[in-house]
Amino acid sequence: MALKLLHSADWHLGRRFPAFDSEQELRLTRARLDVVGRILDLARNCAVDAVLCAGDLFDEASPAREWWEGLLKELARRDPGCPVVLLPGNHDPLTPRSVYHRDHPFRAGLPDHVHVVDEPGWQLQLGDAAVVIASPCESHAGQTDLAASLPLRKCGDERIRIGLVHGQTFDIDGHQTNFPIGRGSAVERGFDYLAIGDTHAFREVEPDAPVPTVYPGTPEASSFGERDTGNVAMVFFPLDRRRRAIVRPAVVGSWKWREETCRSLVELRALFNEPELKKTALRLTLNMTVPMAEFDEAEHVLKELGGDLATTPRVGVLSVDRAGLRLAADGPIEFDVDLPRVIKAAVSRLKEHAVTEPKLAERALHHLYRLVREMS
Amino acid sequence: MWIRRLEVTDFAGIAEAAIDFTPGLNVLHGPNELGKSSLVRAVRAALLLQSTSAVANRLLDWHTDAAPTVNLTFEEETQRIWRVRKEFGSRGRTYLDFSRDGIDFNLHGKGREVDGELQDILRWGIETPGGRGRARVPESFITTALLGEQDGVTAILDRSLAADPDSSGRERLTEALQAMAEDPRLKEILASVQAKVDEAYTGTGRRRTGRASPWSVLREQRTAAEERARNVSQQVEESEGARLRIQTLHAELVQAQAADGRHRAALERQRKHAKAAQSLAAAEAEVDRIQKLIDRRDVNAVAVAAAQKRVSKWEKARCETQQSALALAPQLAAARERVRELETGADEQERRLREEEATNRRLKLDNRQERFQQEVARAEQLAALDRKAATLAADINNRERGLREKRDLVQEAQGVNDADRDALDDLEVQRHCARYLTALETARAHADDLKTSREHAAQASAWEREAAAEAEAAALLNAPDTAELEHLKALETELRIAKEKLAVGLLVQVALDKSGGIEVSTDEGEPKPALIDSGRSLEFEAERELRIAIAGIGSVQVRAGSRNLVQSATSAQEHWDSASRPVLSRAGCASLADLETLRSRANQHNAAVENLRRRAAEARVRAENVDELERRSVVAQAEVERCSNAIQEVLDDGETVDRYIENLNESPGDEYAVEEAAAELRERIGEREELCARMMGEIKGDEQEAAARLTELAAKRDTLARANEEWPDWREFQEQAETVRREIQRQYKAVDAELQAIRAEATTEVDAARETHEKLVGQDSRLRREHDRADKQLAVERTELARLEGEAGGLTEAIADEDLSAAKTTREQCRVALEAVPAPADGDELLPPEELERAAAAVAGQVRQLEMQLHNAEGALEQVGGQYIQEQQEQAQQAIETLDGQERELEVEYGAWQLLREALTEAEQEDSAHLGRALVQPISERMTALTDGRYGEIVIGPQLDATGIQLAGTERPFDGLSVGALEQISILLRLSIAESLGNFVILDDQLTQSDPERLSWMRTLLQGVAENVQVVVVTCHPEDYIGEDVTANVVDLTACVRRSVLVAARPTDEGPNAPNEDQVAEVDGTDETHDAHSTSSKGRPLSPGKRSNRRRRIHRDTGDDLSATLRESLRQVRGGE
Repeated sequence: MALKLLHSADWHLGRRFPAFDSEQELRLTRARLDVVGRILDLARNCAVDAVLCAGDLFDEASPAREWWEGLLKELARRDPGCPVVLLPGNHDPLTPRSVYHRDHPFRAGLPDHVHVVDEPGWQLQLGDAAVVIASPCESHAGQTDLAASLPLRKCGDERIRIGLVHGQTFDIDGHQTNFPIGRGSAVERGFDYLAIGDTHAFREVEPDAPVPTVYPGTPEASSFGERDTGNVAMVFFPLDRRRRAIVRPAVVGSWKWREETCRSLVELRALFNEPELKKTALRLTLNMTVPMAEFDEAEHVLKELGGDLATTPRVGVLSVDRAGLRLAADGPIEFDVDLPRVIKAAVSRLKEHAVTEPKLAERALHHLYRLVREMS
Repeated sequence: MWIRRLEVTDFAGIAEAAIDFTPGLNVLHGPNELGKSSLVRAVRAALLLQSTSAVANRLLDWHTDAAPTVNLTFEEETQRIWRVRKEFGSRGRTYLDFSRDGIDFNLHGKGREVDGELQDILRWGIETPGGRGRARVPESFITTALLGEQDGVTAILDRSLAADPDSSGRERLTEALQAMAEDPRLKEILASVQAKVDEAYTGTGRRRTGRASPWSVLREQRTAAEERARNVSQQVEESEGARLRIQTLHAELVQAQAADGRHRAALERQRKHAKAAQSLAAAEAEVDRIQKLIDRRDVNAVAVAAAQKRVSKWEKARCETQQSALALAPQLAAARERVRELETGADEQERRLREEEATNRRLKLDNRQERFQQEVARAEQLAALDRKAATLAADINNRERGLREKRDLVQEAQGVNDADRDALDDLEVQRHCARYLTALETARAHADDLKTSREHAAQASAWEREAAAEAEAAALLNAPDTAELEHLKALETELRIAKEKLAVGLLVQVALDKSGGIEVSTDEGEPKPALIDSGRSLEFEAERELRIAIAGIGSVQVRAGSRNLVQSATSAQEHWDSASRPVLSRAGCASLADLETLRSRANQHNAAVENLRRRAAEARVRAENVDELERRSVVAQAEVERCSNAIQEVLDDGETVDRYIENLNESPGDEYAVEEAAAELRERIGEREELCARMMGEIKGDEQEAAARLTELAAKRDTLARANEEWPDWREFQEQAETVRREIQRQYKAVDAELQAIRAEATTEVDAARETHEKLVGQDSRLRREHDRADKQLAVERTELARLEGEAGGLTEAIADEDLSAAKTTREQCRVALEAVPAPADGDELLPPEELERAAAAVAGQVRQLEMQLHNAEGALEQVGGQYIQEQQEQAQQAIETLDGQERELEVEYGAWQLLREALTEAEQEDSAHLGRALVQPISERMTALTDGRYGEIVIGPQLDATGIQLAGTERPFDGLSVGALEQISILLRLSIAESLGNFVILDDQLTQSDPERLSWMRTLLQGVAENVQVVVVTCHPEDYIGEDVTANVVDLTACVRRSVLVAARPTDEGPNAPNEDQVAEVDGTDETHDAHSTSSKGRPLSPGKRSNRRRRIHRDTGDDLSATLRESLRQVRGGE
């Protein structure tokens, strides 16, 4: 094997998850830092020659201190035994106020084996046989084809040339300004591998091309509906230089993002009984009309799934759409005790109210049901 | 609420009465006509009737014209004790005192406000009175229940809350009955629901805004999210704007670049054309140049000839001007000599002499004028000094007059102050006298209180001893304790149930083959013989056991129940036996019922113990401050001594303090009034002293001022005297000064006119000579200038001639080298070349080259500017645009949507709690609107117990209007019930209301129609009710309420109430109703202490005259033990605070 690389991108450290409450959001944000440790461990275990991080490592150019300090600690604590190259992407471009600027404490605190691509055409020699050539994003958006701006292979240069840029290899309406990477750039510029970042899914652009251009995707998914996430790209360069580099995804992510709809209490119970939901971000939609006892049980199950101050949640991150959970208010409500006259009258009133304001009345009936149950 | 004490004087036939009540049952008994009902009326009047009400006339004692008084002390709750004091009549008075210990009372209010205050305390549905008072004793549902009149036993059945004049009674009953009827679970649920609602909403239903509010967190997050979304949206807008701008700029740049290209092409063509035209022009210029050289040579020849002519002309003009100047010189010399002669002649010398003399005279006039002005100024100074001296003298006279007036004023004020100080000394003695009298009264009051407290202490000891005896009696009963009894009851119930289980019923049919007799015994019954005929059968029934003995054959025993049930019954019997035997043995009882009776008796003993101990404790509380009272008594006595000593200083030999006070011309009066008068006097003295001091200060200041002015006057007068000596006539000078000034002015005018005339003489002749001379000088100058000009022009023309002649030589040489025909050939070639270049077509190319260049430069600048703008726009887009900012926008929007969802969820959550609270509250209000429901059950239970289940539930309406009873499912009116039953139902209703309110209830001889059995039941009921509220029974049959099993405060009213009797009055000076002397002496004698210390309504000692006017006109029999207490009460009512 001539050379081994670990290629990752799109860590998005410090990313916000506003669809969840603050505690859950923090859990997801921390998960993004946790995965960095696993990436560095993998690099050390596989004895790679370099770790290439192709941009968007932070979710913004000036993230909160805790995130860049966290990354510093990880980098210092887990030395992969090879150079680590950090490339500024469009989320964390190289600007005077970014963490990558020479005056920023993050940059100053980086270990010696960690390098920041801080100028166009930046190069890092990997021994005598290989070189990494990279250009950083210097703004959030741009029309420049950073790959096309990399220097051409010179005549007689026999080294393995690895290009490293951040941008998009496709044209999507509205994204034209986002650092487009022209198809065929890797071949034109004389590279043996073009490491790129931006898209969150693992993807090899033009698999039939003579030179691989690869998105490793984000190592931890960041939203529902994302596919092929949670990987890094392991790149192997054969000794036979005529052979194409081999690219394999390696799983490092630990979180799953699931969307479920329960239409009965049975389905909800089954979901509840699933063994491992701690590292799951679950978007749960309830669509059922049930009598009070089942309504109460459903509420109980939801409480157990999501946890509260006193109980640990069964699900790592839970988002519930309970608009479809309805009480069959016209049915009998089985209170276990002989109710005082006034409470019976209140139940009747709430049932009448359920005709005009079903949500409020159903919830109120359930509150009353809980109170009476707790009292008995 | 319970009544502690009632004191009555001169009230509806009662001369005096004082009764102490206790919590629990109070039985007040006495014979007819003693005034029992009057006491109840007194309670009613104290609480409900205004002291000035016209109804109060009915309360007057027939035997006296004294105003009826009532003192009622009641305890609203622990440590809130009130005392109402009322004196009824047209000038009635009312006071309300408050106490925490029932001993020391403070005045809380007086007058009309007391009745309002009482209604606020009681909340019995009586409206707050206004005006002069009501025309009748006010009534309400609660007053009827608690204070029902003797002749209105069943009045409560005819009343309803709806008829109450005020809603306070209904509100209070609603609260009480709600609390009674409220299910604890409902209460707990309501509290929980309210707590949840309170988390999110204020009392007025608005969202809470505090830090703990659930809305606050969301609102803050929402604000932050919106702020972020705004920022991001702004960036997106900027990004979009930048993108659009880039598009626009790009289009503009393309256009500008096209225009720039056009301009460049046109300019190039124009340059080529210009170049050809330039060549042609150069060729033409060359031809022109050569032609011009030839032309110039010809012109030069003409110019040389003209120059030669001008030189000749100017040489001739110079000769002519030179000759004219020489001819003018002798005339000029003669004119100059004539002028010199005129300026140095004798006439001129004489004129100058006269002018000098006139000038000298004017100078002298100036000197005189100056001296005159100095003297005028000095005279004015002296006049001012004289006026100042006169003013000072007048001022000094005024000041001396003012000083005399002030000295007189000071003397007068000091004289008045001496008199006032004497009066102040008299007032001081008077004040000591007043304080002496007050202190004496206080000391006696404290002594009385001390005595009462010691009596309370003795009473407490007695009750404690009684309590110990009761406790011992209870112990001697050896009654089982409550737990033990309950255990036995449970075992007995268990046994009974076990037996009942066996009582399933047995039916045995017996048939014999042959006729014969048998013996049958059922259950525990004795065997009974029976005869059975052959072919017939007999049936025998039993509940648990049946034994049949057939003679000669045997017997059959049939038992009900399974073996287990039998064993259970046996086991229960054993348990009962083992548990009950020792207890029954110890207590000497035969059954559980006996044990219960024994327990009840023990409970009664214990209740008595509790009651006695409580009363003892209360008495101890009252006696607790004996030390304090002793201290106060000592302090009061010391005050008496101190005041006495102070008065002693002004007494004559052998005179006592009391005699001194009696001999005073006037009553010492109110200490505070005396003190006030003394203070006023002191204030006046002080004011005068202050006035004197101020006057003395002013006098001193005025004297110093006057002395200073005298000194100043002397100095001025001295100065004036010296000036008079130096210049005695200054006043005459001042008078004539105006005349002198006018004379000087006149002389000035004369001298100035003379000077003007002299200066005019010199001008005429000299001016003529000078004019001639100057004219000749002018002619000479003109001739010289013309000569010079001709000379210069000649030189110029000669130079020009020389230049032209030189140029002619050069031109001739130059023309010799030029080839005109060759130049013309070249010109033609250039013209051909120009015609070969295409001419400008249209548009900008038609512009002049400079304009075209400027336009091209402008377009090029525009292109550069557009390129720069495009670069900047692209840079801006790079910083704010692209996918990054769109993701940020999506995130911001997502955050807002999430918060919206959370808020909606919160609204549903807390809206549900609100809705639940409303539903519960409305249901509760609807339920509680029917007040009768709460009372139906307790009353009906008692009614059932009383009538042994004869009647069903009582029917009580929403307004507590009792309408009948339920019987066999239908409501029956009360009409069908007996008088006794109605009486008992009324009492039950009244007792239930009193219990629900926690209020005392007075039953005034109410159970007169009840038979002994029901009376006994009612007695037990009253005892039970009295454990919760105070029950006051007023009766002439105490035996109906007092028994061994009843613990009550029994009050023999004959010992507490003294009826008033009519005493024949002897006519006196005081009127037909005035008491006779003996009676007055007796009353005065007994009331001597009181009268000696009567106080005004403001608490100040009355003067002897006023005391005599307030002498009581009460007629009564000789005093007894009650007198002192009642007199004190009367004193309190009539004395006010």
